[in-house]
This record gives sequence, structure tokens and C-alpha cells, in this order.
Amino acid sequence: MEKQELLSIGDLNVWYTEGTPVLNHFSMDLFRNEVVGLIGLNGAGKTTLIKTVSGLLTSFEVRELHWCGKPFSFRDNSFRKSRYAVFAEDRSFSCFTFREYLAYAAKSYGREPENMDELAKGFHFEEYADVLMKELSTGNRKKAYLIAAFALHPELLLLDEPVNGLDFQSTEFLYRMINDYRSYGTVLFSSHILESICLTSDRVLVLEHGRIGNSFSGDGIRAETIREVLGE
Amino acid sequence: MMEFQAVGRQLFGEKYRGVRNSVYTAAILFISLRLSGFRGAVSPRVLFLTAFVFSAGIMWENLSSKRSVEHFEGLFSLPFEDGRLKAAIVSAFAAFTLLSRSLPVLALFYALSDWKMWEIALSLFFAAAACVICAAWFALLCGGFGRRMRLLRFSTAVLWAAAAISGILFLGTPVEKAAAAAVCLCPALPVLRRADCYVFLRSGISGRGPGRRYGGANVIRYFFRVLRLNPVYARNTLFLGLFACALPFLPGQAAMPGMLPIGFAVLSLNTPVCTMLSADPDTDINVRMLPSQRKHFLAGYCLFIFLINAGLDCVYLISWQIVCGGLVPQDLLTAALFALQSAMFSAALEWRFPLRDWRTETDLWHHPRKYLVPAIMILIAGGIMILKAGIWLWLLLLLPECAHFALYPEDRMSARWKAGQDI
Repeated sequence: MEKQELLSIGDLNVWYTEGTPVLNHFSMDLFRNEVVGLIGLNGAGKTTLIKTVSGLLTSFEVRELHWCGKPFSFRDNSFRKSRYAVFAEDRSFSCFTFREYLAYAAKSYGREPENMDELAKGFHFEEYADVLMKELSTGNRKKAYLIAAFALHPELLLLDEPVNGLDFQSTEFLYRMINDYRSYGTVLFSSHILESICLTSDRVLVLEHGRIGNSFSGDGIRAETIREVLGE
Repeated sequence: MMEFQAVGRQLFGEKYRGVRNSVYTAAILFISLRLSGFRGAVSPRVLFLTAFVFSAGIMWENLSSKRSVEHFEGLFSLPFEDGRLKAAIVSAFAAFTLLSRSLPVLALFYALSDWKMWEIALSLFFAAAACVICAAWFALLCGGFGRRMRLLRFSTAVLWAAAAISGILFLGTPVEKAAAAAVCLCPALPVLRRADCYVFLRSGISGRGPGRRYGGANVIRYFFRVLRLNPVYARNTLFLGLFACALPFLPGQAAMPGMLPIGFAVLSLNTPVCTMLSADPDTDINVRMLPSQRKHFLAGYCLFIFLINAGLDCVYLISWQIVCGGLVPQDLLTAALFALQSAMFSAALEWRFPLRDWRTETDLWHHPRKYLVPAIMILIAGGIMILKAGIWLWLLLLLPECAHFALYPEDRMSARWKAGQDI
């Protein structure tokens, strides 16, 4: 079956200081219903890429940008309704409880959250659903945003270091959720942990100096090979 | 010294650029006011009281800043000597308060009137003493001595503050005033020495969570919760409420009934409430990430500011009626228009031009942007005072403005974000 293109980025340059691009002539295609892992050393541009696609950065230029085959901008509301991002560090809406935050996010996306109970159980989060987000530990706060992400079922899920701060059981559950998400949409996630990439990804993109230096897919996704590439 | 450098750099920035900027600002203010030839008679008591109260207030804000806590986490995770670190924190925060906030205000006073050298020196001494005394109050009231005997500690701090202020106000000679400040300063040192160093690591947001939790999403409720759980926001709004009560008592107000709109304009200066998004960078990021936030977040935020402004205006109107009397129904409409217009301006400003790259919350609250909305509202108030019928014209203009605010296309709102507003 031929893959259907979801997001196509051609020749993206992003910078924080003019003249020193973080993403440098970066190009990437994402297809429907796949899981793509993004790996790279510190400063390679993983978080910058996720922030740019989330519409948070303005200091960028891009030659080609297509969503489902049509030109778009990262800040188009229709695109924003199709993606959700979980950031590595997030303390937003600290005075909402998780349940309130989820209701708020769902209202913003104009959809009802699904499988909330199942997700809360899987992440061992049931007892924290009505606790203010500011009272949650780092790991539980991460779980809250991950549950929101999976419950909202956007077409594109952007996860920045989703494994950080999670306990063993929740990490296992997260891997299962990422694998299952193929039936709803596409996941692009960054991680430093090779295991998380190897256990879930259909494709692995190795980010080096602001662009994709190597990519692996299918049987080529092996921890040893990727470790070698990263160590070079 | 190393500890001082570690804290100082967090506050003043790389290469202590903040010091240079503050000194330049104070110098420019002083020189420009001097050259303008504008002079006024200011009592030395007012100068001393301002130096003391203003510096103490800013010092408190700085010490309780949430951002300061983030700066300190790394510092406290390393081995440290208790006394040295406390001295470094208090002196760095005092220097930051004096140079970045008190100096520009004092420069205005120095330029406004002709002062003797001892008066300038004494005002600087009061400002510096206020910072140290305030650090001691902070240690007393914010857990530097555990949780026991709260009432005693609170009473001590209140009496201490009353003694310091009474000394400045009521003692006659400069020597007596200086002696009073020195006497008030003396207990600060042992208090600080005995206080737990970790008091400076306390969270800027304190208080217990709300008793009742809701499942629905309501941004207005969210903001009221932030207001309730954040003592600085709540205190500022309370002070503004007290100011609204006192406004009709100010000289000239009662004699000039037409001055009412000026009060509405001044009451729109509730800076912490109008910088809630800037003050919470993570929520700012999440709001920019989520779709349809003009409708769900911005409108709710605007309504929240409107409710706060309207509440303050009500207090002002009640106080006015008691003191001056003669209010007519049109004044209620005027209050509502002022509250709504200033709320829309403040929310739009926060949405389009959020303040970033601040170090402590006082950077936010003392940013010049805070004067923009009150300045516009004062111009409107002036217009209404000249032309009474202007209120109806304003009402007509406000209706499409509201519609525009509520129905502005989401995509166009996004596209208008200016470059340089990266998160």
C-alpha cells in the first residue's frame, strides 16, 4: 500500500541568533499512520524542530511546506487543530486540575477526549486527575500532558522527550500507546533514549548539525547501528 | 564573594549589564527633569518615606519572585556555608532593588527639588536599610523560623514596620531619624543570622489548593484561582481596592466632580493582573500551541480583567458617593465602559506583545508597558471631561470593537504575531 504524505517540510532554516542556524536546510516528510523517532546529540535541533512545527518560533524561513499535499503555515488554525505537542518541560496551566486542563484543551480542539479512563489507569494517574497541576510531581505532570495528547487524537502528535521523568511502568505503557497510535495518526517524537526509539519507530531520523544526517527504517533500526552513527 | 557573584549575575545579567542600564536610566531621568526646569516643593519626610517604603516593597517582591526560586535551585543544590549564602542573597537582592528600582525613583525626587547633601545621603541610607529590614521581615514571615508562633512573628514584623515608619515621619532632626533607622536595622542582622537559609528558596506561589475542584474548563475560574493562590497578585489588587476607597478623599477630588473618569482611568493600572500571561511562560507556550485560543483564552482573560476592573470601579463609586455624592446612572455606564475598554486593551497588549526575557517578576510589573493602557484611558477620560456626550459616542464605538475582538479570525490573529516574539 502506498504511503500517504501528511507533512512535508522542504529546506527549513531556523535560528535564534541571526547567522547561526539551529536547523540548517532541514527537509523531512512525514506519512500518515507512522511513528517517526528523532534522535540526536544535545543542540542538534530536536526541540527547535518541534517548537517550530508547533508554531512557537518566528525566526525561520522555509521553501516548501505542505500539509496533506496543500501549502499551509505552522500557525494556521486548521493545522493547529490537527496537531498537539508535549514539551519536555511544561508547567503550564498550573492552577487547573488535570481534568480541567483536559476539558479546556478538548474545547480548544473542538472534540471530546477519548479513552481518558484507560489512559489514566495505564499511566497510574487516576488519583491525580483532580489535583492542581502545580501540585503534581515532574513525572505526573508529564503524564498529564501525555494523557491529554493521546486522548485528543490529533492527526499529528509531537512529543519532545516523552520518556523523561516517567517511571518504568508508565514508560512501558507509553511505548504501547505510541505503537497503538498508528491507527489514529502519526507520531513524531524526540528522545535521547535509544530503546524508546527502537521499540516504537517505523523510521528513525538522526539529526546532526541542524539537518537529517542519517535515517533508518524497518529492520535497519538497531540500537548498535544508531549508536555507532551518533558516536561518529 | 563567589556566592554574591552567582546571585548577582542572575539578577543583573551577564557582565552586570543591568547595573549600567539602571544608572543610565536614573541619570537620564535626573538630567532631563533638571533641564526641563520643572520644580516642586517636596518635604524631606516624603523623600525619606518614599525611599524606605518603596525600597522595602520592591525588595519583598523580588524575594518572593517565583523566578528567583528557579535561579536559586542550582545554587542550593551545591554545598554552601549558610551565613555566607544568606549574606550574598540579601546583599545581591538589596543591590538589585536599589540600583534597578529605587535609584530611578529617587533620581526623580532629587531632580524635582533642591536637596542638601545630608538629605540625599539619608534617603539612600533609608533605602538601603529598608532592603535589609525587609529581608528580615521576609525571614520572619515566610518560614525562616519554622511554623510555630506565627502570630508572634507577624506582630513583631508589624510593630517593627510601624516603629521604622513612625521614626521617619515623626522624629524631628535628621540625626534622630538616622538613629531610628539604625535602631530598626539592628535587630535585622541577628534575625537574618538565625533564619533558615532555605526561606529564600520558597516558592513564589504559595497557599493550599482550592477545596472544591471542577471538571469543566473555565478560563475565568482559572485566573481567579491564580489570583487567590498568588499572594502578590491578590495583595496588589487589594491595595488597588484600598486606593480606590481613598481616591475621593484626595485633595481636589471633592471640589471637582468632573474628575470621576480620571479615577476610573488610574484604576486600570493593575499590573500583575494585566501581565498574567507574561508571568507564566509555560502557559504562554501552551496557549500559543493550542488552537482557537483567541476564543477560548483571550476572551476569557479579557472578561477576567473586566471583572477585576469593574469591581475596583464599584469600590471607587461607592466611596465617591459617600464622600462627594451626586452620582447619576450615567456614571455607572462610564465605569463599565472604562472597565471594558481597559480590559480589552490590556488583554490585547498581553496577547500581541507579551513581555519576555524578564529576570524577576518586578521586571514585569515595572515595565514601561504598564503605563500604556492607563495613559490611553486618561486621554479618554480627558475627552469625556471636555465633552460629556462623548460617552455615547464611545459606547457606539465600543460595540463594534467588542465584536471585532470576539470575532477576529483566528488565523489572522496568528499571522500578526510579530517577529522577535519567539518563545
